[in-house]
Amino acid sequence: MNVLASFYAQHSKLIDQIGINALLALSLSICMQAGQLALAQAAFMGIAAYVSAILSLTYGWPLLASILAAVLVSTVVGGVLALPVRRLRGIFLAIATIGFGEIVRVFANNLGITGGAEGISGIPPDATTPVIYAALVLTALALALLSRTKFALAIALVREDENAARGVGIDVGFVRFVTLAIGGAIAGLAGALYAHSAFFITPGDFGFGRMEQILVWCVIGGVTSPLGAALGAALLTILPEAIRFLADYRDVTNGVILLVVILFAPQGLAGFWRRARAVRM
Amino acid sequence: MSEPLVLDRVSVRYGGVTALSEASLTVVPGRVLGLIGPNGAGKTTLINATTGIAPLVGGALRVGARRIDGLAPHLIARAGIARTYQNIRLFSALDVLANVAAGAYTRPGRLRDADARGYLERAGIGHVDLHATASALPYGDQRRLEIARALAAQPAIVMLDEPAAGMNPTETTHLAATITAIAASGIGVLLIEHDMTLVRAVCNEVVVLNFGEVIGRGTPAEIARDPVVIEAYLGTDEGAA
Repeated sequence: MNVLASFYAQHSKLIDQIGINALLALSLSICMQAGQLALAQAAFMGIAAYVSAILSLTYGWPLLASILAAVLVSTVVGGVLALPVRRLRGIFLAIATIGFGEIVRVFANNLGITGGAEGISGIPPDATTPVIYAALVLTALALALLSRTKFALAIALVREDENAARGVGIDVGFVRFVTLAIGGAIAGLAGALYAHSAFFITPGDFGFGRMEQILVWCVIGGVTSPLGAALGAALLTILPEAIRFLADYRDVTNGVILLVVILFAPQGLAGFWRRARAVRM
Repeated sequence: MSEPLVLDRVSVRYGGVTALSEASLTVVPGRVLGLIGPNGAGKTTLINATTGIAPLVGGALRVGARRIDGLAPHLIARAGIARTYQNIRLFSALDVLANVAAGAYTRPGRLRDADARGYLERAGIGHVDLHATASALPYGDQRRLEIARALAAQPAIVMLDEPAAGMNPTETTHLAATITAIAASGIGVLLIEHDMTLVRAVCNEVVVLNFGEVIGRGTPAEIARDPVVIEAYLGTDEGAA
């Protein structure tokens, strides 16, 4: 027990980060499963982080209430964002949603209530490891349940061919709306937890750099595999810590890993167990 | 059980080009209506107009008494109109079962494996592995999987866009039996086809399109004798000279 306790004491920050990052990867993964390269997860995360931080600090809301309120807000933002981008696909959707992320960041940078560029500090660090991992487990369970519903088929069909999906009676706009709202909810959950474990938040925490990281985790894990995405997030969160000298070259390392995966293992980590399953059959 | 599909003076324009001009036809449950015409005559446009992909600039679409023109494509599909595509449009990375289940998506409940097998058998590919990836099937089987997907919707009307394209004569003969059986089950079939052997074998009636207009209609035998139709296909002496 002592060994475990001292390991935890040494690495608790990293363990918390892994949980939060896994949530962020799941959030992008649900959008990618519906074929949407919607890169607004960092913005959803930021919005929820600010909402929960302000509710806790200014209004004295308890942790759970501020998290739930923040998730509600980011879910609505995700759903509403689905409307203006409903006719955009692929790279155009990516650019529009990155633009949305920049808008959110610029607002956070200039509004009084968000504390401007200095951000907000003194947030109670009450999102402990059990809280974060309870959120991760609940999210994973919810996604597992979703994958057993008929709606999961609609998500896959929209990814494969939107027009053919319409041809079999699927409301493509509704599927995109729901997946973006779910993506908003999960990223928001991650954002609220982040705010309550980081002590202070600034607009820079939720910019394009963060978004790019989330995308890299998903690509490495396998773009349509939730488990792969979460593992990708865990792997790339641990890597710079495990190999110390990599930490200084984090962006370079991320880029090289991304290139290697795209060139040699386009299915990412998920490719390994998909291949294993194919061999068994 | 099902109701006829009526196209009433339907017009479609792409920019300045009139792709379909006041075309009228009726697809009757239990019967096969052939739709023929030279390339670019507007046959696929007619299917696209009926399924809500190409907006009408005039005319009306009805299933029974219900107007369906102006509805979103997924609502028209739910009104009982299923189709196949000239260029195969399967969910190619998914397996056979998922493709059939896609067709059945709007039906209540979940598609059971036995039901999926039933639709595949009606489409003439009862032997395929439910868990084979759609894109890994031979070409002819992919065309038939599209038919199975359409049947799984339990539609009132099925529109087949050149289902025999790329098939050899033996496969085409089997396809004829498949289409006849689909109509016999009470579904109205609209068949776009260039292969006149197939058209003669399965169609109760044929409509001929040229430059977006209906230039002839009748039984396959009547159509084959119609001078206007022959001219559209083969050209006049003047044109040849």
